This record gives sequence, structure tokens and C-alpha cells, in this order.
Amino acid sequence: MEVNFQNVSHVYMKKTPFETLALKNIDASFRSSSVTAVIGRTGSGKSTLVQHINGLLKPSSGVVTVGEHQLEARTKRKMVKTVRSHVGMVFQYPEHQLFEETVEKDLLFGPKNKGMDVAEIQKKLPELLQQVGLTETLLKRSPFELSGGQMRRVAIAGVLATNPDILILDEPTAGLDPQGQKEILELFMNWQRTYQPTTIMITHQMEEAAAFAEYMYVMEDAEIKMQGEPEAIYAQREKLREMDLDIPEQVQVLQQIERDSGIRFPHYKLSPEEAADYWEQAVQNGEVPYV
Amino acid sequence: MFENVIIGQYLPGRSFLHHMDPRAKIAAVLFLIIVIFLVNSWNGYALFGAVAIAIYFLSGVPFRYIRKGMFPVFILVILTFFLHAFFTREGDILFSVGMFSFYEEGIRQGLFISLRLLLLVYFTSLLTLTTSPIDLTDALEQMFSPLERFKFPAYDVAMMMSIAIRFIPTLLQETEKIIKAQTARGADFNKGSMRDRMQAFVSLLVPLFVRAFRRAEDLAYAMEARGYNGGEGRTKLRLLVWGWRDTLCCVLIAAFGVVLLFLRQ
Amino acid sequence: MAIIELRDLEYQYEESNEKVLKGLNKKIHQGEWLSIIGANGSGKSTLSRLFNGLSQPTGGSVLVLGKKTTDEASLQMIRREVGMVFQNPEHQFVAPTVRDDIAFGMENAGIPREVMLERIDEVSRWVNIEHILHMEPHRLSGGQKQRAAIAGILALRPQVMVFDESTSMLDPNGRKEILETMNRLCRESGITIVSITHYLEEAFMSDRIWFMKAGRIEKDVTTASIPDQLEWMEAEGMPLPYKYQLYREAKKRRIDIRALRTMVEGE
Repeated sequence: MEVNFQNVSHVYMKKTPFETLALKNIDASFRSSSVTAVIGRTGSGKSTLVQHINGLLKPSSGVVTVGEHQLEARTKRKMVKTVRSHVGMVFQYPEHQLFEETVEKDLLFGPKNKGMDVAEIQKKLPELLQQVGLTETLLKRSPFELSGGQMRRVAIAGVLATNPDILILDEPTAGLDPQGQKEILELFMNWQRTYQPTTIMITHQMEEAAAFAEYMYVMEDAEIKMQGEPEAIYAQREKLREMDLDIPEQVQVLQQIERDSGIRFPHYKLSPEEAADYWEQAVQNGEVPYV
Repeated sequence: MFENVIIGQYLPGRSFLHHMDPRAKIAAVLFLIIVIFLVNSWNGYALFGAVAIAIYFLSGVPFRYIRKGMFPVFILVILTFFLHAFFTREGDILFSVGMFSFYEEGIRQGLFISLRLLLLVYFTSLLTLTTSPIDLTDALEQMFSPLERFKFPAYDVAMMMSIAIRFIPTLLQETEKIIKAQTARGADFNKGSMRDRMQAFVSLLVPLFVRAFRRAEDLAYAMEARGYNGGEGRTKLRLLVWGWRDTLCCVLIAAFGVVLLFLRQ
Repeated sequence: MAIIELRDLEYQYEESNEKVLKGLNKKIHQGEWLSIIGANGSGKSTLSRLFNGLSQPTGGSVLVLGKKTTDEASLQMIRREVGMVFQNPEHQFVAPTVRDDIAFGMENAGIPREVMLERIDEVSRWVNIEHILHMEPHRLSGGQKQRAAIAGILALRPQVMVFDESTSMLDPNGRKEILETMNRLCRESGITIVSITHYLEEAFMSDRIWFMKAGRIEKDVTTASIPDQLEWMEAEGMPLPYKYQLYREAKKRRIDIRALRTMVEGE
């Protein structure tokens, strides 16, 4: 399902002394089944942007098109609910949304609200738990007895349970240790490969975006300041630095080696093995002086 | 949504009233509330009204904020007025509508009581509009501290109040986040059957409570780690300073009380 | 001189039958920056609470400046000397404004008001928050809240500061702010720092690393020896920063990339 923003603006606390412009004339599009990263500092407007896709916020002006539906300032709630049933959203610290007595009930909360065939989904829950790295023995347990990591996975499963056409990830790995971050990201990548939802991930960690996204928007002060494929974005180091954003460590290292030795890597997604191989090859071919 | 929340109805400012010691303000309001029951003449109310207007100019608070604060009380005021107007049967009959007769004394008393109520709410609103909750807490703590001798835990109550005040915005932000998360999962807090709405409500309340307990635990650790040990031997950064404004205010208010006594009929 | 000493330290939660900490014997030296890493459940957070008597050992002892944390008479002194910065910036901010929050610890210690005012001035300038002293916590960023917490501790003139995953809930800029502050605390002010972290990059900034596993300190290594430590770190499932992975690959192939060597081993 495709998402398009046409000249969308959003004003918070309109007509109060606290009025702030949170989005300014945004044009953006998210292709069906693609993975896009939205990057920016805290307060740059990236969360505000994605909350327009499931109608948590309505545009003050402009149109958001989701599939064949349009969301505008005066869109009726019924329409909003229709759109919302296609969208799954994983927030920061998603485990804070758990509330039911059992894991099973919590997983079914979303599907039930969105009017789906609950019996059908219930049958698939063991498989779903497996996909998020848990076992079905947890189904009858209380979510509050679980470890922090398990709780997060259950909460994520609760969003994936509706098998959304559009999946929005708002920094779902916040607060995890690096190992946990990696696992959760892999979980989403696998899900994306299997079910192909249009995926939009918000992050201020460039590493996450690098591993995952095929296109990137960089936001600052309620506007989209840069867009393009990750490689093209990373090439503009100065501009990123002005916005207090860091290039992923991997890209930094490879770029540093390029500057120092004159070698040109084909791209910056090389694994350590590939990069070392490439270097070795380049030296053997006499393309790089051995330094 | 809640980023710019104002706790209570406090409006930061630099007016005469803002600069006063909260203890003086509380004392003054208490005094005014008492003396207003002494007033029983038109002259007395006229004087009271004049003082109210004078204080308004000292507060620097835009009128709409006062109006907003007093609006809910209006219904009560109107109700009280009519109760008195209908049921007091003293003095001359002023006029009759159908089977109802309105007596002079009824109208008079209705007006007086309404005025009393209005002034009462007006003065307390001005107090909370010009005094930050934390200053109010400090002042109350000091005013109640003599009661510590009788085992009244003024200090602990004040600490609890100040922590509560500090966490109100946190709670509001958290509420907003959870509402959004559950709405994204299809919960509907505004429409739908009673059952659905109950369910939505539970999906908000449970996480809020779970978080609140977690927070309380963390906070207790943080306070202990920084050496919190109850009130004993503790010093305070916040200092209430009694100034010329406060003394002046007390003198004027006392004089005002004496004048009111003379205006009694 | 050892500023904190662990002697046969054991800890066991009441409801559990396995020890979380199993006979630790270690010293933390004055002025060093020690990182404690390890997976969740390895006991590192439990350990952090024993450093200033927030929890008490169920076996052995913790000595701070030679005094046992179980010694009631020394506890207030220990709490002043060993400050703690916690994980959640929101949950450790006690008072209504930054200024009041900095004062909180000093108020507890019974420090006179004039001294408090001076120190607030001094420490808020030191951690660069003098422009936000009047602000309420909900208007602050996570990094600003953590810096307020650091200021509040600094005002008590501690010798040790324990950071219990204090950057894990911050955004990258907040994390940078706090790491830079930690660096200054240790290098400029000579404060001993103990930081519990799961970020290797952070641990690599310190002087020494304890690696905890199942209640024991499995490794105790200096950061100068990091290039030699990569094997076991990877074996323990720690995602190494890219430059270290590449460094190892290069070494395996016996190639020497100067830029890389500089990055990893220093000049």
C-alpha cells in the first residue's frame, strides 16, 4: 500500500500562545512494500510526520493519501478508522502498552478492535510468537511476569498480529542493549521480507537506517531537508554534521580509509570480510599503494 | 499536546501580587473570606468591590483568565440567588410574577449571598493565579509546621505535595503516549459501545498504574541515593522572604477589616 | 589507593535461590574510569547498587574509603562520597525545577543555604546548565535531565560517581553530552568513575573494563589492551564496532591498513 504526502502542514496547539508549526509543507512518498527511514533529531518533526499516516494526527492543511484513501483536516472519523485498520505502529518502549491478563488476550486486542477474524488469528498466534523469537508456552502467561526483552517482543507481536499493510516503526529498539537492538531489527527485516508491508522507520541512529532502508528522508525544524538513497545521503557529510547527525560508524571507517589511501570502495555496505577482501584485491592489482 | 501544560492555573508574572510572600497572600485571603461574612450593608459591599478591583490591578492577570476560573461557580451563584429570592418572605413585596411574590429582603439577601460567593471565589482564584503551586506548598508547610509538635507531619505532607506537583506533567505526557499507542491498535476512547469504551479505558489505566509503581520505586532509590532521610536536619534552598509589600498588605487588610466593622448595620 | 574494595562479595535476592554475585574480590582505584559490561542478568546492575549501600551484601562486604557500607554510622558519608546517576532521567528528577533538583542532595546533607547557592552556581556552570536552572523537568531533554542529576551529585563533592546505564535512554546527542561530561569528570576533576554500560564504544573510552558473566567478574582488562581482547569479546556475543571487526579481518589476511591501525591502536 502506497503513502503520499502532498503539501502537508501541521500546527500544534493552534490559537494558543504555545502554537508551533510541527510540519511545514511536506511532500513525501513511500512506495508500496518499500522500506524508508525518516531520520532527524529529537523534535525535528519525524514522529509528527508518521502519526499522520494512521490519523493519530490530522493535517492542518494538505492531503495524506494512504492507498486509495485520503486524509485531510476534515476527514471523518469513520474514514480514519478504515485507514487505521491497515496500519500497524510500533512505538518507543512498546512494552508500555501491554495491559491484558494474558499474552494471548493482549495479542488479540488489536485484531479484535480492527474487526478482524479473531478465531483465525488465534490459530496463528503460536507461529507469530515464533516469528518474534518467543515460544507459544507464553500465551497463557501474564505479560507482566515476563522479562523486559520478552515484553517488548510480545508488544511488537501485538502490532504485527493484524498483519498490517503499512508498518510504522518509531524507534522500536530504544533502550535495548546492542545485541537486543540487532535482534529486534532482524526480526523486522524478516517480517518485511515475508509479508512485504510498506515499512517506515523513524530513527536517530543511522546504523539502523543503514542496515534496513532503501530510501531516506532527513528532517530538521519541521521540514524535509534531504532525501535520497542512503549512500547519496552519507556522501553529504558536512550537511549531516550541521544537523548534528552522525554517519554510521561503518561508513565513517570506510570513508576514512578512502581519504587516507586513495582506494574507492564500491559501496559502504561491505561486511568486514568483504572490505578486507576488496582491499587485498586492490593491492594485488596494484590499484592502491600498499600503505 | 501536553507539552506546555500549566499546573493548577498559575500564570507566571511579575506583578505586585506575584512578588508577595505566599504566606501573606494566604493569610490575606483567609482574612478576606472571614470578614466578608461581617458585611451586611450596601456600603460594605461597595467598599469590598472597590478593594477587589484594586487588587485586580495589582495582579496583572488578564481578565479572561479570572472569568474562565469563575465561570463554573456562576451557575451556583445564580441558583443561590433564586433560592433566596423565592423563599425569603420578609419586608415589602417588590413585585409579583404569577403566583410568586418577590420580597425586598429576599432580593437583598439573594444579592448579598451571591456577591459573597463571587468575591470568595474571586480572591482564591487570584491567589492560585499569582502563586506557583510549589510556593503554595512551601507556605502551607511553614504555616502548619507549629502543628508538628502535635504529630502533624507537615514536612512529609509538603514533600509529597511537591513530588505530586512535579510529576503531573510526566503523568500527562505518559497518558498521551499510551492513548496514542492503544488508538493505533484500534482502541476507541470516544465512540463505540459502553463495553468497547470500558475496554479502551482499561487499556489506558493498567499501563498507567504499572508505570506509576515502577516510577515510584525508581524515585525512592534515587532519593535514597542522594541521602534523603526524612525532614530531620534538612536545610532548604527555597526561602520565603517577607517584604515591605507583605507588611503593607497586612496593615491595609486589617484597616479594611476595621472599616468594615464600622459599616455594619 | 583503593577507593572501593569488594571482599568476597555475594548477593542473593530473597525470593531466589541462586546468587547473583558470587564471591567478588576487587579494588577500584582512585581517579580511574572503570566500565562494567555484561549481558542482562549478569549481575552488573545489582553490583552498582551495592557501591553506596542502596542494597547490602548477603555475604562478604563492600568498603568505601575503608568503611563498610553496612556500618550505619558511615552510611551518610558513603552516600555523599559515592554519587549515583540512574538509567531513567525522568525517574530520578525529584524537584520541581533544575535549581531545586540540584539542591536536593545538599538539602538532605544539611548544607547551609548560602553554600548551596554558591555551589549551584558553580556546578551548573561546570555541566553547562546555568541557562536552564529555572526550568521544569518536562521542558528538558533527557541529556539535560541527566546533567542536572550529575550537577546535584557534584555539588556534594563526591570522590566516586557511579553511572548505571545512564546513557541508554538518551538520543545520540544526549549520549554524547553525558559521555563528554563523564570524560571531564574523570580527566579534569579526578573523580573516580564507575560506569555500567552495554555500549562497547563507551567502555572503550574508559581505563579499565570488568566483564561480568553469571555473577562473576570474568575479565578485568585495561582498555590499552583492547586490540588483544577482540576474540573473546566476539565469542561472548558483543557486537564489536566495525573498525575492530575490519581490523581483525585485515590482521587475518596479514594486511596493514594504516588509517585503520591509527583508528584502533592510536597514533
